[in-house]
Amino acid sequence: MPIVKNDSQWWDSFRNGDEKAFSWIFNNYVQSLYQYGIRFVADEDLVKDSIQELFIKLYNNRSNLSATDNIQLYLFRALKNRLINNLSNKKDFISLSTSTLPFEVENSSDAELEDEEWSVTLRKLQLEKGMKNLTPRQREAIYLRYIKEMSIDEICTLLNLNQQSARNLIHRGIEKLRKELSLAIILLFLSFFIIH
Amino acid sequence: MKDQNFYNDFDVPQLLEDRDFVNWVKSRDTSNNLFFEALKRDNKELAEKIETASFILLNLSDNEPSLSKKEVQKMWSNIKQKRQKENPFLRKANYLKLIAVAAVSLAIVYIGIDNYISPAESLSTYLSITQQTNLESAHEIQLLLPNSQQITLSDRSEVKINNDGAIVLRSQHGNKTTLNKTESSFNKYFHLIIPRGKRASVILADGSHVTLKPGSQMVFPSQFHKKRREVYVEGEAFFEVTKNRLKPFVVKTQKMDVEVLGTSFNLCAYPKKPTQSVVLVTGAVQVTSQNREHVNIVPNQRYLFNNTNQKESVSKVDVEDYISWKEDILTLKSEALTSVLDELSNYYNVSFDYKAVAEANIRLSGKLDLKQNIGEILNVLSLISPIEYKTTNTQIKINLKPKI
Repeated sequence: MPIVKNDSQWWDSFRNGDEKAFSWIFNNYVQSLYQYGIRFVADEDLVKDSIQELFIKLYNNRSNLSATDNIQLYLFRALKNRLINNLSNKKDFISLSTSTLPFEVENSSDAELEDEEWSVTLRKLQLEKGMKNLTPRQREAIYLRYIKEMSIDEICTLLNLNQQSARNLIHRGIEKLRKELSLAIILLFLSFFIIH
Repeated sequence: MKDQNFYNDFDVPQLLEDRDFVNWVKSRDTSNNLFFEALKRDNKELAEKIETASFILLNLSDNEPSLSKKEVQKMWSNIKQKRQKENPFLRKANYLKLIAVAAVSLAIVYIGIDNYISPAESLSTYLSITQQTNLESAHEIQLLLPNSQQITLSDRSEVKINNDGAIVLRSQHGNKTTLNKTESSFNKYFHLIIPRGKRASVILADGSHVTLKPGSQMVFPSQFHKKRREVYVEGEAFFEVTKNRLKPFVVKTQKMDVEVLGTSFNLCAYPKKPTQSVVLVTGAVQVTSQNREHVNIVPNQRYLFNNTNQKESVSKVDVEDYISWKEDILTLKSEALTSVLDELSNYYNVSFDYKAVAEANIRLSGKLDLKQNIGEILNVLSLISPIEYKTTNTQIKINLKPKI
């Protein structure tokens, strides 16, 4: 019968030197790490390198790592710190602190737009514009909450916030998005007016 | 189910925080369909909010970038290369050996870096291959080719790698299929997966013959390296290795390496079992478990490594007991009933419930003919030992016979 290990067990086996656990952790989280990392830096290679460095460092220090029952959160945090380090080491970046690390969310892909009704397209564009108008931290919080489906507690850890501020951050972000979307309805109405 | 009025005061942000709502929008839970549809119909103001919230939810997660399989594998191999090596060789700080390594690497640089393929793969390379598939969930024998193509084989098939890299597949009844050499820049390994209840054999590129037990898997190259022949095994297998003094043959497993020049031996290395063993039939082998000293064994000896106490031992055995499975005979010498049932469970892909007899110290001796079906085997077992069996939908329950 297959035995399903939980996060703590995988992590502990890895800390005890189990090669299989190391490889499992890598394979299981590399995609979401990349997806998270690429939001901060549009440079794919830098993100990939940072993920590699992260895993090399984890492996070399495996016996000294602290325990965790949430591997994804642990890795997200570590990757974010590493990206901040790597970016501030780069000459062309001026000093970056956690709070100013940009966080981008690209949305609609052009390929999909063609078959859609214009009203949907318009709303998607407005949503994208809305995301751009958010603060980087609002974007990150909304991304983690609705795309990565993290809990408020996890978001607090990654963004160094308390519960209430995290909730407010998300709440205000959503309100902004909503305003952009209602604008789309007006635009749509106008466009009908012009066409007819 | 929530009350119709539950969502009355909800705005978009609250809706997005509501688990039932999110699960409904993402179509993970359809049981609330009617409920939310009714809400939308009856409450126009709420309907607009529901619509906006669903739109945000669905379109935000539209377009997550992802790494290709190739990129992931490239990253993994970079990680393996750059991390600290667990190499007992270097740890011993044996200068002579270090010089030898340096000399070898110089020679390799000299020959040309382009053609160089690392002769000894690290364990994690193999693990990254075997863990891409789940043996437990496989029902048929599968051969994964270096180009990621997957072939399903019938029970007792034979896979033969020709000198020219072509693959010949032969079924139990002699039907032959030949596949031409597959080119792949990326992955040079075959991966053979044998689920419980099936078995198969492989003839490697050097002519060596491997018979694999049910519930086993092997990773092997299409062509061996110039200086070394290496395969990786999880499970149990019987090896008949073609002699080649210049090219050692190495079987890697999770916990031990078995190095030979040309011999036949049985290897047992199930990752989940508490012991691993090698039984030598002919020739000589050298076993190395987890950075320990090499142990040499001679024919009729069995090397055993115990994970629980980390001890290794060598004992004299009757090799027939360990290799008769190859001829579909299970030889038992005062074997515990529970371990016989475990073996049968693997062989026939059935599941036993033997809680009722686990405590009774029943030991069996004799030979079981594994060509018979499981029903016949169990009939024999219940004749020679004080047990009876009952088949349910999912399991075979083993009980003690009531005393008369």
